[in-house]
Amino acid sequence: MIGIPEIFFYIFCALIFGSSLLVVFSYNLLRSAFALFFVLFGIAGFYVLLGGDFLAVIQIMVYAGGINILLIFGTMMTGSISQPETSNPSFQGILTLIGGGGLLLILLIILNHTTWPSQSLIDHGPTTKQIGQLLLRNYILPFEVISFLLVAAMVGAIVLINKGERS
Amino acid sequence: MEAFAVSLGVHIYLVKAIIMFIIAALSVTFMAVISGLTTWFERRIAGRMQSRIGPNRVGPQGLLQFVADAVKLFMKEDLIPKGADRLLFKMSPYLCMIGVFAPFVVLPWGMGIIAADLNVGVLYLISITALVVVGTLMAGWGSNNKWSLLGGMRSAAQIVSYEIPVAMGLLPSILFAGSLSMIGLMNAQGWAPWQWSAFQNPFTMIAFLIFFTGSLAEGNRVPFDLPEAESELVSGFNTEYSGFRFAVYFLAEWANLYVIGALTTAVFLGGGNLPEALQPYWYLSIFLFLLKTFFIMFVIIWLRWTLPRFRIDQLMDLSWKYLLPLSFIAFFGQAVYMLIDHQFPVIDMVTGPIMFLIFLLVLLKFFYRVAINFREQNKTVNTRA
Amino acid sequence: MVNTLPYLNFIPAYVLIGISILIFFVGKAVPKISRLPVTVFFIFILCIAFMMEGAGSGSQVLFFNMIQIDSFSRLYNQLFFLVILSTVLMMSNSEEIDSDLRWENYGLLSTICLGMMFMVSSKHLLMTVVGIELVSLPSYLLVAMNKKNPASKEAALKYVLFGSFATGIMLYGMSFLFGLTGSLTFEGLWNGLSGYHILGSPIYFLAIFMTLGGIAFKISAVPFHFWTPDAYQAAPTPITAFLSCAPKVAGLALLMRFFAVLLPEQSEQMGVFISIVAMLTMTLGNFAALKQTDIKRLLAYSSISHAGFLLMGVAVMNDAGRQVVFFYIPIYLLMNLGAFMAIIYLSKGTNFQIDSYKGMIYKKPLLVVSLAVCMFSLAGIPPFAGFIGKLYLFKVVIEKEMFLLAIVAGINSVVSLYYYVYVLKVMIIDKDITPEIEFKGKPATIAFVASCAVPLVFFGIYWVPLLDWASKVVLFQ
Repeated sequence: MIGIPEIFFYIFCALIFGSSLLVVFSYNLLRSAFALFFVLFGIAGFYVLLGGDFLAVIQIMVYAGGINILLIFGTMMTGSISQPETSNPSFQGILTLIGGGGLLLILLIILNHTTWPSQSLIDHGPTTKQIGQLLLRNYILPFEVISFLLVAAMVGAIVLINKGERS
Repeated sequence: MEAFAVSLGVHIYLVKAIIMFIIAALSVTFMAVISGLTTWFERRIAGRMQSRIGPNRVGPQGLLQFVADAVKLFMKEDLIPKGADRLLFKMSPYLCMIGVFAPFVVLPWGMGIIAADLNVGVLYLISITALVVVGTLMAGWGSNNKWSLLGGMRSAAQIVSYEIPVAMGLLPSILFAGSLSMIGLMNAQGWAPWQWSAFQNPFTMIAFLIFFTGSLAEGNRVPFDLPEAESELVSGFNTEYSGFRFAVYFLAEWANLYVIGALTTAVFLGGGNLPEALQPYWYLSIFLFLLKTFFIMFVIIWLRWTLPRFRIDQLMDLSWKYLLPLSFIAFFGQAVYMLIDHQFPVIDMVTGPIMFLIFLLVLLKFFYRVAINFREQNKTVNTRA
Repeated sequence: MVNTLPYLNFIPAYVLIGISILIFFVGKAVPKISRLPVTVFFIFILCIAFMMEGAGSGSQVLFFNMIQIDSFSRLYNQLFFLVILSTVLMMSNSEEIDSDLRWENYGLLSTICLGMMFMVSSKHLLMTVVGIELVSLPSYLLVAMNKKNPASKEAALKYVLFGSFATGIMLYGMSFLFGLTGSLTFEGLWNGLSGYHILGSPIYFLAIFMTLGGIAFKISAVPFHFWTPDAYQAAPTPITAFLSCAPKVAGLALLMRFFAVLLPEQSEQMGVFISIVAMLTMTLGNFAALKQTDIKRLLAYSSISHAGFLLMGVAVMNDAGRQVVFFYIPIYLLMNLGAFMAIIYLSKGTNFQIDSYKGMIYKKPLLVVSLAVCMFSLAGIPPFAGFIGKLYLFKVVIEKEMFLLAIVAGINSVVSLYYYVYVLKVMIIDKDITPEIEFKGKPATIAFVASCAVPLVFFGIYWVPLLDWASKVVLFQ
């Protein structure tokens, strides 16, 4: 008997799979960018099914609402987005096909033959508190150090743009 | 009700699905009616403010004007411009609609009355606006019209920028309540104004103002209505839409107004909290909640017809240079305040009433000014006559 | 309540570099501070940090199994400070660096430094990722900041794309590892992987190979080396010199720490795997270098092949191997930095063609002789220090009975001789046909190259002090 979670799992799977195909094969770059939104949205659905409510919402907020929007913006600014030769599904040659297909095959075979040490979901309680405690206790060092990375990225981006504007 | 249905032999999932559908249908219907009424409300207020009458023909005092408008919109031909990206063009209204209606999952209607009390309700509410952004971008691009494109891009830029101050503005309240669920946020406050989280201490007050300002921008309301600036962009991202699709945008916009009002009420203005004596009458709490919400909506409409529009660079400056640092200060201040408050709980008893008192004084001053203005205005009008 | 603040006492240099990042990024905005001599200030900070690391002792596990401070991390950190110091000197002598952007450049360099420090001391995959990204992101930016070469933007973009690809693969592999073992610390990982049906199964290799991909990207080992020539060619030359040394060293150190807690059977498998990568890397680097006409590209490929040589020391998976790697690294730094500094002096604009250096010996004899010492040392010719470094590498490999690796490395040493000597032949034997040109470089540059060359000769004859230094490099002590 298929339970409700399984039904939703397959719905999200279909959403992710369909939209990713669109991302890859759409002849219009902008449509790819929009389709990516639904991929990211579907992944948030997976998080919900795994009991990670906080993570799901953050996924939507950061990836679907932030990064993907910027991506769409960037795509809108680029020229000739709807021409197949400069756009998405350009055929990169037989070697790439073999490489990509080979990787897919290897992953499929290996992941299928692996028995993962699985744990059942213990409870579906709120995760926000635990995440907060982990971040500020066990993972405090990466959590703080990553802010240096963000500062560096921000400063670097501003410097590059400033330089471009001046010249 | 669930148990009763199951005892009749109906499958549990089916019962749940049916209940979900009923709640959803109720919400959507409520929303459609409310947004319709709000259009009438706003037009009447606008009329008053501009010394004219506004719609008053259809129904008593023009109350049914929105029904007439809706019927007119349905009759219109549904046009898709030549060269438009048909898929995106058609998809956009749906996304905007979903983005505006999805918050109703977590919007409370009164004390403990809510469709689903998610653990991360507030975050869900903020993040789901992503759908609206994508919808407007789709509309802007898909219309094959430069005004639409500009409007869509402005809208997206604006929402993405103001999402941060809005979220940061909510944080002090979340700290205060120690919860992300809407019910938790409401329960942390009390019925009296000095128990509301907006008047807890100076920092929550700042956060409230930041949140309110940011919400106006996120909802594309004046003074931040650049995406649909009539004088520049015809009508913004929905220029090319007509008929039913346009009606959907229209509906979404007013529904968004209600969402802003309800969120402000629930998080900052005490929600539907009733005094101890009135607790058993739960319907009063719904009434109170709606009253506060409508008041906030009135304030937003009032602002619309009072303030001029910002320029785009001013808009961005306001968000990134002022609201964002201010919201950080508010967040940090609230954290420090809570630390001190933890050791000296007396402070808590004092700051609330003081803040409320200050608010009352400001209000009094405002009324005083208004009164003077009225008197002067009457004088000048009389002398001219 | 656990207070982690006292932990900072154990990592004073990390704190200092962290503070310096903030100072450099904020300093530009403060009008009075921005007029201060920032280069002197940065060198001062690096010296203090160097002394702080020298003063530390003992082994500590900090921040809930996130990082390990031991003599290994301290000595490598000191090396990083030295490299950055020489990079700063090179940057102040190069025309390709925009001197208006000194504050930002030094801030980015400090960020890279912090990242490398966390890479060598990390004990947890999460910290590893953070460290690698802290190194990668500022590197992309520094590559893009070449004032003279517009191609640097394109090269930086390639670098970014490749870097994110490598990081993606690494994270995918880490997710497998976490799924298999439920742990992210290195010990927990290898212990968890020792279960009988995991060890040696396909997923075991897949997960580890993918995880190593990100590290291989940093040391530009095959098959993650494609970005190297393009990025090196278009980057400002001091940055090229920096990228060809420091992140590689950090990547190798991270690799050694990652493999430090292996069980015997695992170490056998991983040794074979690393030696294969090492052979591929050095062979590809050398044979590609043969065809180069641009000296920066040539040195890029040479640095790839040197990464291969250094991987030999990693492949043996014991303390002797680790010490030999550390023994070779200072020598490698000296010869590489010296060569790049000489190029900065000799080249005009963005022209780095080898042919344009014809007959340089007649114009700048001291510089070219010093460069020749660096080049011979890179090739591993006997009287110079590079030879001793390679000798020790061969020694540990042969002691571990990895004969194939030793043979391939030997052949490669011979091949590499060709292109290093070719450069020298152009500079010394070929007659100059171009008219006299003005060298804009300062005499300090020549002093720098000479001060790289002298120790190379010295250590080539008497290498005991270096050996003593390297013998202090022991993990967990």
